[in-house]
Amino acid sequence: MKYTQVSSNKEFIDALEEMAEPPRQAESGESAAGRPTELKTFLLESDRGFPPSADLGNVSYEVVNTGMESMKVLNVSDGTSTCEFFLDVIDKRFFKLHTNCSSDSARKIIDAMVGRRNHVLDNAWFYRGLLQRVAKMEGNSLQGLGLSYSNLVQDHDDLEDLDLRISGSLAASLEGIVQPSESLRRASAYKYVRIMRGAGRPLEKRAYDDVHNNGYFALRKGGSVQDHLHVVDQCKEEYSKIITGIEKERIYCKWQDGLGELEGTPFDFIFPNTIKDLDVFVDKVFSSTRPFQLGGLRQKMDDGRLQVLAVDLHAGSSVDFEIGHDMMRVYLFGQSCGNIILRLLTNLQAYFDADTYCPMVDEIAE
Amino acid sequence: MQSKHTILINKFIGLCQKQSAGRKSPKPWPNPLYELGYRIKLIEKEISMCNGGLVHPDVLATSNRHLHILVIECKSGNNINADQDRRYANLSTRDFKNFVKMYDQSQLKHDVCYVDGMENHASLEPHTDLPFITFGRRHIQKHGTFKLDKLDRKLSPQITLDGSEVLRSYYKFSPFDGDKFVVPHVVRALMQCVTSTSSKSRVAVLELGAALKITEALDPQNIISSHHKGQLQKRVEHVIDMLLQRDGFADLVRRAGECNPAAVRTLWSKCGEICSEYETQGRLTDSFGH
Repeated sequence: MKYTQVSSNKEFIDALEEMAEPPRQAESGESAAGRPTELKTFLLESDRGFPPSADLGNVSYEVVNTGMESMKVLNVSDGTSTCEFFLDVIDKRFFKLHTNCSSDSARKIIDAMVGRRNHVLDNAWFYRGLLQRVAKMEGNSLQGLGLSYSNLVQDHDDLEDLDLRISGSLAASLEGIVQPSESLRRASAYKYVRIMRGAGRPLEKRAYDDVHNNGYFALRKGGSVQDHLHVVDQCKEEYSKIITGIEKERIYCKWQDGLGELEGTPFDFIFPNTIKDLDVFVDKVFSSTRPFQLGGLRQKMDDGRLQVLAVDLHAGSSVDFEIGHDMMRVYLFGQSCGNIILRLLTNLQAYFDADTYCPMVDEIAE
Repeated sequence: MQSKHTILINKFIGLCQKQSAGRKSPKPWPNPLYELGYRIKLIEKEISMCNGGLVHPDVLATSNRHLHILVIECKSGNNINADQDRRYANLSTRDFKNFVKMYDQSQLKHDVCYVDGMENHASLEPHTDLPFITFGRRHIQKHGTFKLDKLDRKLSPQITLDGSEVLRSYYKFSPFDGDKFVVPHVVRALMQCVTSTSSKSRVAVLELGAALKITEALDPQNIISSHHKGQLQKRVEHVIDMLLQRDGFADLVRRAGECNPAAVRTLWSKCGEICSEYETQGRLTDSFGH
C-alpha cells in the first residue's frame, strides 16, 4: 500500500507493521548493505509547526497529505535516493516521524533537517535522568544500555572517552557497578537504553526498542508496533511535561493595567567536577555549531565568572548565561524555547561530565 | 558587563524572586522578600505625586499579603540628593492609587528604602532618615527601620550570602546606562536578527526598520516601558550607524544573513572584538550618559 493512501489508524498500524518486517532481500538470501532497515521513529520539536517543505542543501523534502488529518507523508530526496516517512502531526509541537529507511540514510536526513541554523526543527533531547525514568515506567523492562562519553568540551586529564554497550537484563545491574567509581560515573552519559515491552509474550508480540538520547527510537527485535509506539509516547509525554515546566519558568514581565509583574527564574546547572578553563568551555559550547547550537558574546564579570549573551540558533532567541567554575546559570526569556535546557543538559553530560545536573529540571520532572 | 547601578537592581530583584534553582541548589540567592509575598511590579517608572512632585524609583515591589508597597532607590555612588530624598519622604500611599491594585486599597501602606553597597554605605547613611538594604560581600544588612513591622523583623538579622552568586540577568541594562553597557546587548540583538529563522528579520537588518527590530529583540523579558523603548531605539540607531561604518562590517552581516555558517562565526568573533573595544578603550563617546 502506498503510504499516502492510508486513511485510518488501522491502515497506519498495518503500514508500520510492514515496515517492521525484515527486509525482503535479506529474506531471499541476498546480503543487505549497511545497518538493518528496522522500523524507526524520530521525535522532533518545533514551536512554530512543521515546515511544509524545505531545501536543505543536499536534502529536500515535501509534506504530502494522507487520508488522515493527523498523518502526513514526508518525501525526502538527497539527490540520489528518496526516503519516505510517516509524519504524525497530531501534536502541534512534538512531531513523530516513522520510517524503515536504512539507519544511515534516515539519520543523515534528520541531521540535515535539524542541523540548519535557519531551521526551526530540533531533536528531542533525553538526558540521563529521563532515560532512566522511562526505562522504569510501567510495562517497561531495561534490556540493554549504551554509555558513551567523549571529552569534547574540555580536557579533563582524569577522564577518558568511553563507549560501552551491554545487552540483556544485566544492563540493570550496570548502574550499581558504575556508581561507586567516580571516573566511570562521570563518563556514564546515556547514549541509549534498550526497553523491552511484552514480557511473557512470544518474541513477535514483544518490542525491544533502543531509545537514544537524541529522540531516535529503533525497534531492534520483536514485532509489536503498538508497544514501539507506546514507548515513543511515554517518552514524548515525559519530554513534553518537562519542556512545558521549563517554559513556565521563563523570565517575563506580564503587564496589566499599566503594572508589570516580573516572573520566572533562571536554571542553575551544577558541575560537581569543576570547569578548569572557563574560556575553553565557552569556546566549545558557544561555537555556533551542533550539538549545542549556541553563539554568544562573552564578558568577564567582576567576580571572575563569565557572562555570555547568547543566541539559540534553533529558536533564534536570546539566552543569557553566567558561568562559574562549578555552576552555570541560564536565563530563558519570554519567547525562548525550553528545548535549549534539555539540549544543554544532555550534551554537557555526553561531552563534558555525565554528573552535570540541573536541580530545577529534576524538580519539574518529579 | 553591567553598571554598578544595574547590578544593585538585580541584587534586589533576586530577593523577590523564586529561588534560582529550587531547593536543591547549592548556591541559592536569598529571597526573604519573596517569602513575604513581594513581587517586582515596576522598574524605573516615573511616579507623578499628588502634591505635584515627581519621583523616579528604580524598583517597585508589592506584597498583596501585607498590602504593602516597597519603593526602592538604588545608590551606587556616594551621594544622596537632598531634594530627591525629601520627595521620597513625602510620598503618600495615595500616589500609587493609579498603579497598584490590591484587594483592600484602603489598607495599603508603603515604605521607601535605599539599596546600596557596603563600600559606600557610610557616606550615604548620614544624609537620610529612610531605611537601607545594604549588600556586602558576605551579608545583606538592614539599616534604619521599616514602617511595616513584619518586613523590618524579616530583614533584621544579617542575611548570609556565603557562596551565593549574584543573579545578574533579570534586568540586563538600564536605558540610561553608558554605551559600553548597552552596546553588547545591541550587538547580540543584531546577531539574533541576522541568524533569525525568519528571512524577513534577516533582510531587515540592513534596511530601514532594523533599529526597531533590534530594539524589540533587546527586551525579551518585556520589562522596558514603551516610553523608554522610544529612547532606546534612538540609541540603537546610533550604535547601528557606528557599526555599519566599520570596514567590511555591512558585508559580513549580509553574508551571515545568507545562512553562511563561516560568516556567522566570523561575525560573532568580530562582534566580540567590537564589544571589547567599547569596554576597554571607550572608543565611542557616551552620548547618552546616566
